[in-house]
Amino acid sequence: MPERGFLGFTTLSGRVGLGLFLAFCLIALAAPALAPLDPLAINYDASGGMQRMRPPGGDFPLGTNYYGRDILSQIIAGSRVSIGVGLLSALIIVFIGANVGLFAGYFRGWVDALLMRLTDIAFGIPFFPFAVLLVALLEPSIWNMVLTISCLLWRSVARVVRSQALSLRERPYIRAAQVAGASDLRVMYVHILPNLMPMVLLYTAIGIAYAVLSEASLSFLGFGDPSLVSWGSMLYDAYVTGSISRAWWWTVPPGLCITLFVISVFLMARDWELIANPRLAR
Amino acid sequence: MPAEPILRFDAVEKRFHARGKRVDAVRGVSFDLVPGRVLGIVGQSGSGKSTLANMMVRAETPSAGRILFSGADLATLRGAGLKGFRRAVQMIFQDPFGSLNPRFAVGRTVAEPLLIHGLGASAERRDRAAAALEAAELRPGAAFLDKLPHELSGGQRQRVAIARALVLGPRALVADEPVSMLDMSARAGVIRLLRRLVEEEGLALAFITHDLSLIGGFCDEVAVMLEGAFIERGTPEAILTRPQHDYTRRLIAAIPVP
Ligand SMILES: Nc1ncnc2c1ncn2[C@@H]1O[C@H](COP(=O)(O)OP(=O)(O)OP(=O)(O)O)[C@@H](O)[C@H]1O
Ligand SMILES: [Mg+2]
Repeated sequence: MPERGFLGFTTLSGRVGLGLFLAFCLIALAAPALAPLDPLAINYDASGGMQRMRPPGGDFPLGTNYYGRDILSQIIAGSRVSIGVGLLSALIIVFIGANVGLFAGYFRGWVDALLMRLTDIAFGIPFFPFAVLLVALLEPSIWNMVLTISCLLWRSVARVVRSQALSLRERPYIRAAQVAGASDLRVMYVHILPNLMPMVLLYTAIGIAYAVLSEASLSFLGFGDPSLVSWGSMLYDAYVTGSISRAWWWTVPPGLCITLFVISVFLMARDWELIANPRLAR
Repeated sequence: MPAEPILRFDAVEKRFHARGKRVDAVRGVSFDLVPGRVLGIVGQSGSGKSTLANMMVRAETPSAGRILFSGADLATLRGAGLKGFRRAVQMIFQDPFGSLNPRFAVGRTVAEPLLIHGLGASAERRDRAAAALEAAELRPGAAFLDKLPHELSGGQRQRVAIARALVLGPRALVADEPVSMLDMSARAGVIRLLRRLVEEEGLALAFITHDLSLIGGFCDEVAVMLEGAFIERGTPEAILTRPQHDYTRRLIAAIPVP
């Protein structure tokens, strides 16, 4: 087993990832206090003219957009929605996926057959058409966004956890607990799941990254909640006003934030992968 | 008069169906596990020993025949009856590295059966785990409670597994190749320990091995298993000095000469 390090982060890149991730989370938590201006307020100058498409500088460190809104404030406020949707979806993804995989791998037989058919169906559904359909049927809100993302992305977690549970359930210490009278639930949640935690953490990280990307993509397609700012919806606004090629200060910050956040999570995941899969370490 | 058997196997069969093929793992086996006595079961790899052991602890159920636990059919036991069985019959495994949860400290592993059966408060369970470790000759027991399996030798791990089997105060132990993965010195110690438990605590022991050299002077009766059936039974000296079957002679010939 590799050296545990801080929270399992043994490499420099893993620690950089953790630092970046925590910085983003802090900004998201403190967003209302940090944003210099109201992200949805339209800013006017002294003579009453709208301050639209201002390049960075002066009162607006990152400039303003077509509607005269402050980009820095939008980035800070948007981190809340983007990261919040990402973290919440990832938790649901891992919760569903880990439980489905655990039940399928532990009970085998018809439970396994049923749950794996469900998983196959989830694998068969193409993400974007389904998401578009669901958001069109329901109303655009962050909750429906979370629902859409988690509905589809638990599938790979379920498969991995199932195959691990299938092999762990044959370990002698599982038999020992059963012979002592341990219930199925006790064996699953006390003996099997904790031994899968490195794997589950790894998939949580990957889930966060995918969920953030999915939120951004769906918002960019215009399926976000119109009353909230997210990094994806900022790109959407830039796109529909035809500003993508005219105002780099409007598109680069949200694009950069999405990229950096996803990278930070993948850097952490790489370290967890070394624990989950020690043969990779070397 | 001999004591009442704890477990009685009555013409027990076990079939598996794997990929369309039928495997008769156990065929028409009958025997009694009696308090204070050691039944040795020997046979080569694949002869059905582990399948038999798994049926003794109800990890598998027979395809035909009956297993009686204190006179009741094991297959139909439910609720309190099954709990009583789970307390009375415990198992020791071959692989001392795989039979302990790597994340559990020794104290947690040994006390877990008590927790499962709702016996004692947390501090009391710890005391009873320490006492079970001492009974398994890990002394002082309390010094082992907080160790993790990877800090122990193979022989020590097997003693932890024995302590876990003893902590509920069982009446029978099923040991499936308990020493085959231990080195020579640890082997002798574990076998002496098992013999002492049988003599002093009156436990019934089923001792399963592929190595005939382990049975002399230790078992009260030996059954030789081939292709799922008991082909020969007797005292260890009868089996070792007057084997009736070629198969038994081959097992004897395979005993390494020290
Ligand atoms: N769950 C199962 N499904 C299908 N076949 C099985 C199963 N368990 C055991 N068998 C088969 O039953 C036969 C007896 O196996 P068992 O493990 O009881 O032998 P064994 O005497 O313990 O061997 P070893 O000394 O190698 O441990 C073998 O042919 C094995 O392949
Ligand atoms: Mg075996």
